[in-house]
Amino acid sequence: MEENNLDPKGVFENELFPHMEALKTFAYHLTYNDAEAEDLVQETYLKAHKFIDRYISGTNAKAWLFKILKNAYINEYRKKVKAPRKVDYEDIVSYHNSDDPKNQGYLDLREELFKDRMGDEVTLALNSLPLEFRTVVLLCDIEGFTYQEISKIIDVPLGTVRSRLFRARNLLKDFLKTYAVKLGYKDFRGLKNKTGNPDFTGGEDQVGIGIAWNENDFVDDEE
Amino acid sequence: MANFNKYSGLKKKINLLLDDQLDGGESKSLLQMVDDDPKCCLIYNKEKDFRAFMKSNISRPTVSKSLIQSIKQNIASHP
Repeated sequence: MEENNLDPKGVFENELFPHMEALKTFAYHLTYNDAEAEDLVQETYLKAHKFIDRYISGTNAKAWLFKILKNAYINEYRKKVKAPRKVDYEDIVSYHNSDDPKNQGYLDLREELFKDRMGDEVTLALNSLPLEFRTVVLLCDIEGFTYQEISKIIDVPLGTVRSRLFRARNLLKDFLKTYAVKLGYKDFRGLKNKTGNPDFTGGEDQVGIGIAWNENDFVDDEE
Repeated sequence: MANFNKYSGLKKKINLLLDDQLDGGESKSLLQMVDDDPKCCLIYNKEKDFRAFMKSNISRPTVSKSLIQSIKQNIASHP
């Protein structure tokens, strides 16, 4: 095996640290929590440090780091988060007996987190996707990885990357339609029947941000 | 239905084109089609704009200075 003579400090400074912001964005959209995203990024760099002898300087540092982060999230972080939290029984009783109106009912924390935050519609839309779909969109559309790189990062065949991406984008467009209409874009679905014109495909507005659509957009892909 | 299948296939191809997954010849002929066929051009622009929309509207939380320091300290303390 070829000896890997690395200057770890130089590799971290020049090749690994420059990807910290991208890793944070990825981690944030997996956890939807800033502190947890930072923990995940930290864990990623510590693992990279531990296994730095496996890294070949000058190769795809970004893909290597993203794979570490994805594995850390799937294998450890999610288990940790999913583990039941221990709470004091007295705290629960006093919470339920409290007259404080703020304590009435249960809140979906994700819903609260993004409520009334105009401009975060893309984040909300991404959040609505199943993890495997969200991951491919983040890796491809946000970080610009190729299908081949994504396939290696998430350990699935190329065909699966392709079909997940296609389905994820369709789901996102569907989710974002309300936002698009709010911004003044029009929903042309069904207008073919209303106009009676089989060739009707909408108008100029359809181009817009690409989420005003026609019937031909409703396509699903088979894996 | 034939029309639906035609455009469904076209949309998939355009996605592959924008994702840089087609070979040179396929890319070239599809780009020619985009130039020649207004409907194809419409689908192409929508897909392209959708990507740009996603990329420019996603939240990108900043990396805190404390995180950078903490990572560097941790790495330094585990040579």
